[in-house]
Amino acid sequence: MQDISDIIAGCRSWNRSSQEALYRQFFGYAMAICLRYANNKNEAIEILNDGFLKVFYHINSYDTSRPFKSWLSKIMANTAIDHLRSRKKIAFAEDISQAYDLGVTDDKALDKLSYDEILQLVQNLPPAYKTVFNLYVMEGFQHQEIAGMLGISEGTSKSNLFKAKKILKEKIEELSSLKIPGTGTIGATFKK
Amino acid sequence: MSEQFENIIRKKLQEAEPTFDPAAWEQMKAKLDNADRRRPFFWWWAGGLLLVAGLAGWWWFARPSGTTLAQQQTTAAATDVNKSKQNTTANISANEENKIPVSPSATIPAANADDVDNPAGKNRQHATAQDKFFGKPAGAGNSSVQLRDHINANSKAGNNVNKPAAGNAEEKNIPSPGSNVNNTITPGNPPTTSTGGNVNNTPGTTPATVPQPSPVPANVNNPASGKPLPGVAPPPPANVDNPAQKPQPASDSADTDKPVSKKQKRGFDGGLFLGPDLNVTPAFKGLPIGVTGGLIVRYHVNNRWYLNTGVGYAKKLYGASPSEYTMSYPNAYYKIDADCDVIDVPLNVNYTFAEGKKSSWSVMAGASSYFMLKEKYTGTYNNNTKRDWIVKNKNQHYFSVINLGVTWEKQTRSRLTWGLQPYVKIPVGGVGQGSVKVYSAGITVQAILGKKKD
Repeated sequence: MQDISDIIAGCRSWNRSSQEALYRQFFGYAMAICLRYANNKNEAIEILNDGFLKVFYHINSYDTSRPFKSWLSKIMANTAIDHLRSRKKIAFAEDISQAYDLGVTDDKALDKLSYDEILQLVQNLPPAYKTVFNLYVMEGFQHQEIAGMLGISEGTSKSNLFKAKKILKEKIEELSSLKIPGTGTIGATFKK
Repeated sequence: MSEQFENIIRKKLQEAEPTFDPAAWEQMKAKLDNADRRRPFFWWWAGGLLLVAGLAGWWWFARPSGTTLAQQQTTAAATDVNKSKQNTTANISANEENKIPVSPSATIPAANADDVDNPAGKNRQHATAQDKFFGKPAGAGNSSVQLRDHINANSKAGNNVNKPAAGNAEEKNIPSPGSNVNNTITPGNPPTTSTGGNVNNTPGTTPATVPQPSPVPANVNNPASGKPLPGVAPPPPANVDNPAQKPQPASDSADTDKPVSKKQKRGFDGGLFLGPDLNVTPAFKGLPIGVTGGLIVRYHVNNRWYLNTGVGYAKKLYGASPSEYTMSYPNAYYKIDADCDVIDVPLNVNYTFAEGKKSSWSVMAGASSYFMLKEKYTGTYNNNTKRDWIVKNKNQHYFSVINLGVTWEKQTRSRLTWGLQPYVKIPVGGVGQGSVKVYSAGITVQAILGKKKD
């Protein structure tokens, strides 16, 4: 595998083979992020390619002292948010001042479900819930940051997260109790 | 429990990654190809614009008018004359040995511009002899005089008047728009050229233009009045289309028959400029005041046109909407404030459209290249928290801003010229890390040191 610093140097010169190398090397990582925000694989690829285009255009602004994956994940998350915004898919729930406990979740119920099944449950969340859930749980942003990024209040961010988790919990329990083997594939091939 | 639920979900969603999809890369390649096509387009456009602007400016000041056209054509003709140089060595030697001026009659044929293009024949020999008399190499110098006469006779025959002057060849080469001062014949200095020679090109001209072994040029010693001018041997040539046909002092005629031409301004000057600089983006998030200042260098092509360039430092402060930023870092702020240190290298063309005794007005157009030294951005969230990031020496934008302005200048008694220049800068492309379109406007005070105004 080619060294990341060489690849980035090539991308800075707008070298096509370096761009392809970067794309290939981080396709899986970036696609996993995009899939969580999108509804399906095609939409995820659209977000992914828009995100990589930003990467190539702004590769000069990448600080090489920081992990590339961290920079890439921020770009992909922001591209996904822009994508959802452009399609006016985000409608946020009402404000809440505190999060309520979801109650006890059976760990074994989660263990019974595969990556594909959980991913599909996340994809099926309403866009606003899904966005906040991904930013908070997967990307690690705080409610204050999410509020700033999405132009909402912190309370709204908490509210959307709570509702996202509530829906997921119910769906997970439902799936595991019914022991449904799967809810279908998303069209992409996954490696484990 | 909630945290545990999140951890399990996170772990599950991170345990797999999609494999590479070649079809996705094909789509990506198509996007990159489009981007490749767009990138050079701007440079072609900007380059073409500058080229057109440059050619238009060049055409304007170099368009045919009196002497300038003559100069251009004589320069071209000089080459032909040089070719005939080798055929004239014998005559040159003879004249050099005698150290006497060449007979005026000998110069007459040389004055005929047709001779310049005639590679053979003794006319050319006469011309070379004349060159040697003036201590100049045969060819370029003399031929320029000859052909200029030819052009003047053809284009402004009615105004051709012989004029007494110092009578040396150097002076004859000094361009003087619309005048025929090259037809100089002075006692003691043999005439180098004559309008009479030119008349050979005109059908129906008098035989006076034919070379004759006369000690006096036939074409200049044929005044209609028959009265020689005091101190000036050659009156106007008989064959010149001069309705008055009156002898008159050539010096006077040179002053009265041609428009008074002002001394052409040409060369460099330079100085300093300083002023406030306002920057705004289309979202119009505030209008903070920055500052700009630096060095200015100007090259005056003529009285009307000058080019200016220089190096300016600009403190550009502007607020922008996050949506105006194309940068890839989180851009979902309420607003982003920028504080940028920029080196601005302009290349402008100025046209002076009004000029008084001590002041002038000109319009300016051109383009600037921005070299971003330091860019400091402050993103503000809805809840008023802020995040700063700084980029240094990473962005250069060549000819990415169009400059337009008006300049008023006031000449002082010294070499100093004061100027005021309101300007606007219109972005062609984005500026800075976020490729934001930043419009600028301001007014600079200029102090220019140059030649003292006449």
